[in-house]
Amino acid sequence: MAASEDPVAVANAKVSVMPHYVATATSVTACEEGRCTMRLPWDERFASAPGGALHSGAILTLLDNACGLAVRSSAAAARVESFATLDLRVDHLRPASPGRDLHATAECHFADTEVAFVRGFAWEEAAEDPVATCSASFKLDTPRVRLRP
Amino acid sequence: MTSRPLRSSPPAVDLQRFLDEVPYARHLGLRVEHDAAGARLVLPFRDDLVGNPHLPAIHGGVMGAFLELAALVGVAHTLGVTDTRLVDVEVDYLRSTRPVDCRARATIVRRGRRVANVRAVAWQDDEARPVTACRAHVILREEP
Repeated sequence: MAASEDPVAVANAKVSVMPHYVATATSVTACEEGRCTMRLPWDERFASAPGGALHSGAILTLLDNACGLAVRSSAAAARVESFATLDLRVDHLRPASPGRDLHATAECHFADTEVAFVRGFAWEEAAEDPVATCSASFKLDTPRVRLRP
Repeated sequence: MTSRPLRSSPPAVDLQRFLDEVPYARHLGLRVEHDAAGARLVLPFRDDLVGNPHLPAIHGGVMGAFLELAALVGVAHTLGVTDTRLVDVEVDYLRSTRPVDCRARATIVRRGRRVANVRAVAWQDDEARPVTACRAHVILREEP
């Protein structure tokens, strides 16, 4: 990898083609192989009540984004053209705080040629105090590589 | 399917007003429809809801959020309870979505004294071919 290839910049460029990503001003703040962190800046349009905190659905959406990128940045996904989410489970531990940016960190902790599993969590001030946790499973597409001429 | 018959009908909740008080639901443009089977929720398609632009498909997280809200609308409609806490949600991605409106309907699988197990299913062209489904646990903070 060339020194000028910042993995965060590369990741941001990759996900910036997703309209919903751009519309919510979501950005990648950390990215390494199979693990990433994203940030959703506070937006009162995504609150659960007037003057309230971020809606659980917006938290789920950020976690879904982070899980997808964790797979995309993993070595297993590098060999496939695409992958699809099978399921996503979110545990909403506690409400978020009004006015705070939200972060989501996700790690692809296992992958083989067919599937990938991701664990993630959403947090505000400290990763040790998450507002939500998640786990997701993905199906990796069969590589479109001819094994024989 | 509910676990036992209710002693009396729950008070009717103005579902659209319930949703319109939630900024995020207003942002998604959600609206309530009623049909013979009860209440259903509509997610009008918009370009900024697209995740993968190559298909194009509605963002998977937005589908999950839509189902969360459908579950809570279901609790409001069927149980008459609007003061709730969403504990967890498990979303199954069944089919690729297309750039058209989605509808969702919730079913109360089991209502206990303080917790409801709710399933919600989303579809586009055909309710019998759902695109996304979820199961959620909801704490009920009030008696209707």
